[in-house]
Amino acid sequence: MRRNRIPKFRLYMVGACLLLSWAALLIRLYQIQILEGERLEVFAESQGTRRQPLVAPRGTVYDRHGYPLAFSVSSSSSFEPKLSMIPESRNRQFPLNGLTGRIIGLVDYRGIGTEGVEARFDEILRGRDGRAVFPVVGNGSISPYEPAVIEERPQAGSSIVLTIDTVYQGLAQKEAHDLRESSAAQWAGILIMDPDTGEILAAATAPDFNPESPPSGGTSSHYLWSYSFEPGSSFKIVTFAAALESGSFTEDSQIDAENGEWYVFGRTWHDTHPMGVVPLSEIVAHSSNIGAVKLGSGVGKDFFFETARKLGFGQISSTDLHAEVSGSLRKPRRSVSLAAMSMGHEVMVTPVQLLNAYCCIGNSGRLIQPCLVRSVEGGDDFESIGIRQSVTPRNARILSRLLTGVVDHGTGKRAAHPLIPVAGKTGTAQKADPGGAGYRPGAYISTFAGFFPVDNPVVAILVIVDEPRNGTYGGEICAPAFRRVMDSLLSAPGGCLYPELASLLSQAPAAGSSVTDI
Amino acid sequence: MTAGVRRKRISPSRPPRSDFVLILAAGALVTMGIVELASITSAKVSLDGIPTSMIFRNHLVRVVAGCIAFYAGTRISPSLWATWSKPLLIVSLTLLFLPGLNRLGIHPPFVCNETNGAYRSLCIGTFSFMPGELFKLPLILWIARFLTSGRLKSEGYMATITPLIVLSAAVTALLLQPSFSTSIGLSIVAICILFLAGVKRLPVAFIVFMCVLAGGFIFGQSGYRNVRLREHSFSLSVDPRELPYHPRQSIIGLGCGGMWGAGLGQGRQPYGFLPEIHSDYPLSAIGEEMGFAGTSIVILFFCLILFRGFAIARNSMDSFSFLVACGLTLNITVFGLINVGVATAVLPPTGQVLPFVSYGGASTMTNLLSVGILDSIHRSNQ
Repeated sequence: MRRNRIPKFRLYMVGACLLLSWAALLIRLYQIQILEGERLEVFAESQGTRRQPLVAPRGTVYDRHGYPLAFSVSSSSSFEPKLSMIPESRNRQFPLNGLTGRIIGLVDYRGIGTEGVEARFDEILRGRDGRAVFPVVGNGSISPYEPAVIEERPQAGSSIVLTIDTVYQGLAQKEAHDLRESSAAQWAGILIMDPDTGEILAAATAPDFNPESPPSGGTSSHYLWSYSFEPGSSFKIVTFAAALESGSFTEDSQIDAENGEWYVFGRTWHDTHPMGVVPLSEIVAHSSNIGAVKLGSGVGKDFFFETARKLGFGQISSTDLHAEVSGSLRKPRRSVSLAAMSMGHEVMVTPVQLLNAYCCIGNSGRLIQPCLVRSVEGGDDFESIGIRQSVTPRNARILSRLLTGVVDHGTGKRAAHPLIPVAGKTGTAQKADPGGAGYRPGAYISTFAGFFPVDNPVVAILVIVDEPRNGTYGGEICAPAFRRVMDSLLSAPGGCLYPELASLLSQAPAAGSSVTDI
Repeated sequence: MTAGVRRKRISPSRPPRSDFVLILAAGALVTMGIVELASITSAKVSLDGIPTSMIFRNHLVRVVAGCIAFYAGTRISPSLWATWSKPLLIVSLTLLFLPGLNRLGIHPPFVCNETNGAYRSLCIGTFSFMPGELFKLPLILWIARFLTSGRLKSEGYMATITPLIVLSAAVTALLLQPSFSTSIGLSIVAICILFLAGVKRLPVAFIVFMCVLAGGFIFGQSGYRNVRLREHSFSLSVDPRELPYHPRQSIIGLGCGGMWGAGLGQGRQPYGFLPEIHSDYPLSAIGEEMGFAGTSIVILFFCLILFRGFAIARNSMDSFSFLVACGLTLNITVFGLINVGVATAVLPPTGQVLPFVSYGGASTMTNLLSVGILDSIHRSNQ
């Protein structure tokens, strides 16, 4: 290289190479930005946004006084477009914890009800989730800097008001717990209904169920309508009703109770309280099995079956109850089956079916559908649904009076109230062996179902204890519990029936010394 | 003056004029960088943990410092650079070795903590810079000085041995950090200077061959480079199996821009999709917000700088000015090409900044100083 001589050719060559490189990159940019731009933009859209549901707040479940039994906590209260965060929480709060747990049931992580009222009225409570497109940042989380685009606003779920009276539910729950403790039972339940309307005022079971911390392995279903059992004597109400309705028997019919032991249909029938020839009222009062067999056989298989159907057995009793079972009622084919059914065997019933049959008798023979929901937000109050006139009013009144005898001097004496006449019936049934045929020795289900006052019942109560260890008979265990619940109801202020119940006491004929009981 | 150098004759009474096209092109790029950085920093609360307001302010401070460097460059006579080139080279080469020494178990002072598995920066107090950036200018000045000192004439291509030893030392220092792309870029610039200095083709070919060999050897050694290179393809796929994350996000940002872009502050890639967008991928940000129009203007300005730089070189009065002008222009262009090539997924991802546009102190200052020196040569040509 001579001094000051510039190698122009090399300079141009290098310059041309560099310029060509720039030109190539310009073409590359054209390819990316213009030719492939749309495809890349679609991908940018998909990586830069996320379509997510806007959770509709779930409706609240109230008791009949407006006390919230279950409500949803949302982390934000509005769904304005400026809002970037979605309400992550589908947190369901149960202020009363286990008290109404089995009634309310559960909501799963998606916000869909799976048990109880939450499941049964899921569509009403759930509302409709909305949708929004959220911008996301590089790590995939929703951008806190930019607004979301709402495609569809969420529609909040409606609230519902239950027929449950928290005051009564609390009393019933306490009694159920005490009863389970004292009798060392598998479980105990207390069902309180209004016979006039079919409203379930309290449905308590022990053990209870806390939806906020569901026990693993434990069932959340409600025993009072998801559990069916052989009712035993408390089912004799069907036998008595059938006997009266058939016309073959009257209040005054004399029935030979065979002194407590009778061989017929290939087996021997026993009574715990042996009697001779007695009027029908004594058969009822002392829960005579032999009497019931005679009455049942007297009315015939078809008529007995029809009466049981009419009283609501063997079918789902209500549209409000989640996972209700229908029990099992089959038309008896053999006489021995009819005889067994007359005393409450070879038939499966649920507690709510059983109490509703008693309500029907108390309510002049008119069967009303049990209900759990009073109203839905924004709608009218639900009206009680009468199903049918199952028993004539006259026979219903006669039967009510017969049932008073049970409490007055029969098996349910310990349920008696000094001022208010109570109608009721005890029941003690052996539990079937789940392994096979026959009964499990020592395993009983004791019940007491009743209502008061007899003539125009205000409240119907069922007490049920599964496998009591201390004591066996419904009259021993359940009747006193019935009386305790009755006392609580009569004097519990704040309950929905308090005015009526209080007036009952004031109108009751003065019975002298017994006034101090109250 | 010989006939080989074309000179514009201007009346001696008139003071020499600056090269306004060059200055305006560089100024426009710096301005676009500032505007884009403002847009990026408005989108994010923090970039890599540093508050965006601080990033923007830092950048402005560096641009001001760069302008001072530019002014100094225009005032300093090119011949003065020749005198200083050797001490500058020695100092900057020493600094260049400091970060890499950590790899050898020596822990010299002023070395910043490891970032992304590399030691590339020196920290003095709160001030930090990359010696790799500072080294480029002294190397160019010194090679130009060395090749024009008459040895090339007397020793032939044996004279290229000393520059190659210095280059090898620098490449070694850079590979220790490691900073592979800087060593490649510097090698290209240095070899181009040798080529433009008139060294015969044979040794140049030999050098290129050696570099390719050495490069191949290094690829075989280093895991991350190996993976990056093996993964690299020219595909514009959004499939992560075909294109690694950073270039994929870069082309997504570019693609979103279309012809006219989404508008300033409307880009989505700064929201954490493209890390180091302010330093390594400003072109992607410009492409997303200003579209193909914006990116082609960036390339146009780089072409203008290339064109003016080589024009200044061609018009220079002496070989030193010629080689310095060529070297400085090459330096800007080669590293610009590398950055744009990475942003458009033509080259595998590296950490090279885009001259003038990117956030980065040493780069902004040395590049603006280069423009100042080019302008100074331009005025001395008149």
